Amino acid sequence: MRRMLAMTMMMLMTTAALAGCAGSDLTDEDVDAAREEGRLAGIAEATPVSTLDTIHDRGMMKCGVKDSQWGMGFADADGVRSGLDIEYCRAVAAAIGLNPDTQIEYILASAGDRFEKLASGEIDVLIRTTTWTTSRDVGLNADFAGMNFFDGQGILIRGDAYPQDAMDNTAHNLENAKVCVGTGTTTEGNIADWNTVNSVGMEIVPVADAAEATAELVSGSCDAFTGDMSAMVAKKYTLEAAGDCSDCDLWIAPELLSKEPLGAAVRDMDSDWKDVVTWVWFGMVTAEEMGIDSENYMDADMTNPSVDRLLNQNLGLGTDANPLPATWMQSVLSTSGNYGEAWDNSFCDGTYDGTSGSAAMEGCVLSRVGTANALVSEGGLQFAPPMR
Amino acid sequence: MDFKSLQNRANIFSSVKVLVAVVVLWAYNNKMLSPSIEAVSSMSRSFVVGGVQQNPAYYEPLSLSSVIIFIFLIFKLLARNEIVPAIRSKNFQITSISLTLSSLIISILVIALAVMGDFSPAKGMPFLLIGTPIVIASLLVVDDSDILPLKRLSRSNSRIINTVIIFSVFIGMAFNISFLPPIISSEISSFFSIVLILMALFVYYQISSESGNPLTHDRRSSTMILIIGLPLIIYLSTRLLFLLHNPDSVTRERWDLSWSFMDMKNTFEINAWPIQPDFPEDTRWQFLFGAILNSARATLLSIILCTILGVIIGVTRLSSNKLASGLATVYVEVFRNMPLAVLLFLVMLQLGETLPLFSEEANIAGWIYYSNQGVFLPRPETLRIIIALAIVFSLWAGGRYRDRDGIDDSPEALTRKSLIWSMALVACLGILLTGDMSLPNYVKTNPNIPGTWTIEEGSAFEITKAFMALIIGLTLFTASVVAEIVRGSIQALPRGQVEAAVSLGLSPYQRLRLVILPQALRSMIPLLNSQYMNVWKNSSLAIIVAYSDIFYVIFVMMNNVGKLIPLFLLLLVIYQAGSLLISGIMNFYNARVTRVKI
Repeated sequence: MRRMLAMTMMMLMTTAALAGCAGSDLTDEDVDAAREEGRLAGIAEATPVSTLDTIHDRGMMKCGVKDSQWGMGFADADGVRSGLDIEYCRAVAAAIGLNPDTQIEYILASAGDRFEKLASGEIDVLIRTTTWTTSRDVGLNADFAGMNFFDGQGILIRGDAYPQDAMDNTAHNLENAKVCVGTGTTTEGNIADWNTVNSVGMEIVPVADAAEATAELVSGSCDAFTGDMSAMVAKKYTLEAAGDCSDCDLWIAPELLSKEPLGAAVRDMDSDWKDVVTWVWFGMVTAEEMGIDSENYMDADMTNPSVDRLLNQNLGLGTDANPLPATWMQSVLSTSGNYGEAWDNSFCDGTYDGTSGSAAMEGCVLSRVGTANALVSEGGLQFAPPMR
Repeated sequence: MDFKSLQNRANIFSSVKVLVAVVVLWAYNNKMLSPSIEAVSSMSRSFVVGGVQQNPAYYEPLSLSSVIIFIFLIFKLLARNEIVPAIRSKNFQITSISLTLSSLIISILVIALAVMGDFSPAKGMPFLLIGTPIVIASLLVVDDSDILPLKRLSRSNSRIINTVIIFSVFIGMAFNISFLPPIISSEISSFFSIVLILMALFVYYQISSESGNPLTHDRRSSTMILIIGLPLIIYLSTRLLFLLHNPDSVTRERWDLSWSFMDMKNTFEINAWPIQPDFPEDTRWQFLFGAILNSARATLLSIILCTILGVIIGVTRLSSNKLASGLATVYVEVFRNMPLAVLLFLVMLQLGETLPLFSEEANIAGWIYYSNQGVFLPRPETLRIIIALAIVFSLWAGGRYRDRDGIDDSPEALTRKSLIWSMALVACLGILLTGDMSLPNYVKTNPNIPGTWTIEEGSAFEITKAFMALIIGLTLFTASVVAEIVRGSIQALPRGQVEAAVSLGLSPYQRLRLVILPQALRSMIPLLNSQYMNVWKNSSLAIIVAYSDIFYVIFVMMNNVGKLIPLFLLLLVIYQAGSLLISGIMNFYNARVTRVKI
């Protein structure tokens, strides 16, 4: 009985299989349908959702920042953030219609993990004193947007081991000095190049991060510390203010070892979002060029077509689903002001009126006059393409 | 409580157990299988325009099907290996490997069908490629069963018939997938999940019914593991294939597994010894090699030091002297309970604060220069170091040779031995010191700048602060664990051993050296093995003390060139190789000390 059952089943299955083979001639319709499906899927995969739409869905912008560099990205003892990078972040949030006080999530990005955080989507935009270099642009799946700061690499030196006078005020005499450099940055490559090219003979000590470099500098295990000039100025300022290194006699060598254009980075192939981040910065620079600031933008002369374009048109920025509001620049100005005001809030005493030129800023730890960060009209490099 | 209610309770418990297992398996199978099906579907979709493949995820059916199926066959071979016993047995019969052969034939048939049959990428291809492993697994299930029909046939015949039936059903379904009811054709992953759950339940029933001999039982257990592991295996293999051809170009670039960037010149400097890579001439490989040597020497030295310190402290903890054992306990509890990263940071800060500044030029009679940037020691001639080491080694080897038939531990022999050793050590020291000892050669390039003095290259032996901090931190930390291992192993010895040693009149040192430690070693070595591997892995924290180790170099390279996944694979392989090497050496040693059975 069982055997019969088995035989019957086997016969049945074989028949089914044979019938299957017979029925395997797919019709042209089937093939076309499959092709069509493939084409649709291929296209669907090729157009990813813009980060701008993701931000609006989420209702929150995730900004990758630093919290340890006074003047750029800094969080004080009460957790209040300040600095040029933070101003930029807030301006972008205001431009896309978010509330910069409540709808930004600041995410700490370290030198080592920042690009990974960006690539994996953990942050929407990276504004963390990030230098624009070829290999980063090509290899790290990052696209660079507005350049908010032209920096260079500087060296902060302990004067008790390497006195400024005896050194003739130059870093070329740093022979045998142990120079600490934080890892994961462009600075370690720059100092290595500079050391080789100029045959200085310094010894480079790679340390984990700026905090450790500071500890090594204070204890004297390192004779000097190298990093972005803005960071060196801020480090000297904070160390002297805290009195941590009163015997060190710190000084900063005048040499700029490199050019470090710092800016914002977004993920590759997301041009709608990249345009927004870029043009928010250009908008702030343009406003300063035109003499428009956070105080006077309400009363600006709207009959002037270029002022009207800046303050009352979105110029096509944004995605189809989420275009920027027409008054996006007004939100930016009321949040961070123009570039001069953002600089003043970050590095100076915050009393600058925004229109009278960078020489009028007072109490600056890092001066803007005569540097690359001044407007083109003042002999600097900060320049925006025409906004039209 | 009577027996019956207990029985009921056990029944209820076991049905709840089965129910939970089914729910978990259902969720797990679906979670693994539906992305696999999607991946196969997008990888098999061909879309050619003007002779160019437009679907970046596309694989040729031949490579796609053979990779997925043969990866699974390897796991099948692990679950049920018929080949090795068949080769070992005296009379080889083809029927003894019929199961392996039939799964091989099925695989080849399926690959041929995948290449030639026009399976639709939406349903047919995923069904065929994901279904084949399930078919092969079901062969194992059916083969172990003793309640299915066909029992009267011989084993090999029933195998062939089973294979033919299952395979025909499967192929029939695969060809007619679009005509099957939508419950199967549109929900392939649910269908496969149900099939897998039914197979698992069937095997579970057979295992719990306790029929069959131990061999069959073993086979059923491994079949069960294969069925449960199957969705994960499929998921991992399809996922890897998909990532390598990911349509998202960002991800695809990250999964580009080539190491050609390592042949380019490195962009940063490291401090390495004994091989210092040359910036900017050397390639990234050479820098990585220098870093590997850096990590290896720190690990090796730290292993030696932590063993010595750990044994001393472990034995001291058992001392009857309360002060000594108390101090040892404090040591163990302090360092064992401190995170290593914190300890390293503390050591680094302390060395920086305690040692004098470099510009103070602190030295001991011009022989040893020390500062918080490092220590310069006199450097004996290399030839003399070799001679001294040769003397020590030949003495050790000679001792081993004399003791080949057992240690002569009479008082005269011990006195003679210690006399020979101390004389030899004095002689070695003499050889080292009498020669042209190279003293640190002080040079100062600019008398006005306090920091520019240095020691002439090659005239002294330099130990950097980073190396010292790493060795101190690693050694202090690991020694506390080693001390516990030593203590535990000694306490695990039967008390009779110590008592016997005491009654023989052995001194405390002799008891330790001749009775306790040799026996404790047997249980210590496997534990020490894992601690030594921990030292190797913990050395990756070296960046905290500014020491250039493997992790540091790879980390900076990641930052310079991206290439996260190739670099991470490299990192994993290096640490894995180092751990395996340590483990191999320790296992070899373990085999030697456990040669004598007690």
